[in-house]
Amino acid sequence: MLDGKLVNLRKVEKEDVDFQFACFNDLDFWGEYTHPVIEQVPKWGVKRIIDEYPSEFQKVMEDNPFIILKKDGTKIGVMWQFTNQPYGTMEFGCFLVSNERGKGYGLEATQLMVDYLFLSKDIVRIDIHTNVRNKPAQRVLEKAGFRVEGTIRKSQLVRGVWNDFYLLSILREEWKEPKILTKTA
Amino acid sequence: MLEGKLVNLRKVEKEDVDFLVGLGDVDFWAEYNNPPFGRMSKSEWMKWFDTPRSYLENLIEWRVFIIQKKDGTKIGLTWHFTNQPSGHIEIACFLVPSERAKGYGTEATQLMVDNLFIYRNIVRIQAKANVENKAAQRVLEKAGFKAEGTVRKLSFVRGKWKDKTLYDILLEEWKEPKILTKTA
Repeated sequence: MLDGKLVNLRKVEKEDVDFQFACFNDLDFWGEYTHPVIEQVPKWGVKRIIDEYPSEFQKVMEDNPFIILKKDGTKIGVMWQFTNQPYGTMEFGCFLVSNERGKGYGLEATQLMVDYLFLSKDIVRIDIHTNVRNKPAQRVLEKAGFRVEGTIRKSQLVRGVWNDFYLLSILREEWKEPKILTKTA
Repeated sequence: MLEGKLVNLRKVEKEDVDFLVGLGDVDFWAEYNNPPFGRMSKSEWMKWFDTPRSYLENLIEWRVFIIQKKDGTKIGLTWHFTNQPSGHIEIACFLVPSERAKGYGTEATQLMVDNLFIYRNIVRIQAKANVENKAAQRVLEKAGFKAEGTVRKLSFVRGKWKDKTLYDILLEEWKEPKILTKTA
């Protein structure tokens, strides 16, 4: 469990089937900026994703799925951490249920993940791709110390249209030290 | 065989193994690139040809072509692959040092772009060049690519993390084949 002040992150468990089922099948969950990462899935499909984790694909992408919870235990979103191939750069994505956006949870979840990755892996940078139109995500990423490096034109098909995405990154020397995971005991 | 005016591209064959082993030379990968497959011996290459591709290799769809002059002299390699999980298709091109700056790299790049846009239903192709590698950047610009940004500390080259300039070309900018114009 990665403990923050507002939210905690923990790996997905079998008991998260109902929450994930509700998220994956809700177009509002993916928002207007992202192609649904997982298409419409039946409940047994979600159960299989969890039961058979990691699939061959999840293994090669080093897929690491987390649930975002408030301090009272309410599940409010998911976070995926994965490795881009063949370059081997690490990246993550963060999704919140629509009524929990704009409250600082996304920022803290992002900072927790950045801390976790730089504390536990020998990496020099973390990648994020985000839709050019997605201003809330860009504000979160800037607050978390990410910088825009460039634009991937027509990067993803979102709601039937090819959308441009920014490539952002944070370097280890820009991160310097943990912001949330500061406990050293 | 993809036929150009100066060079042809064809898929790599077992008979190219001596040429491939010769590329273990640092000068070929130059100061800008980490050898993508290290120093592979002849027997390692032969094993590579005969080993079924792994699950990850199948996802990445790495396709290697030999660049040869019209007289058949092998002068370099070019390839395309698919980044995962983004699905972004990327190309790269390498020439032996004595054959650089003669237009071969530009034509090989144009052939590869034509080839990809002709046979695959894609909207963009990307390429990355070390920020110090002005020669590669000129080639990409001549082939219609645009610089879109700098990816910091992307590859570990000669003991240092190097930045790379990200380039891309969109289907609508390419418009039509430049070299592979034969329609028969």
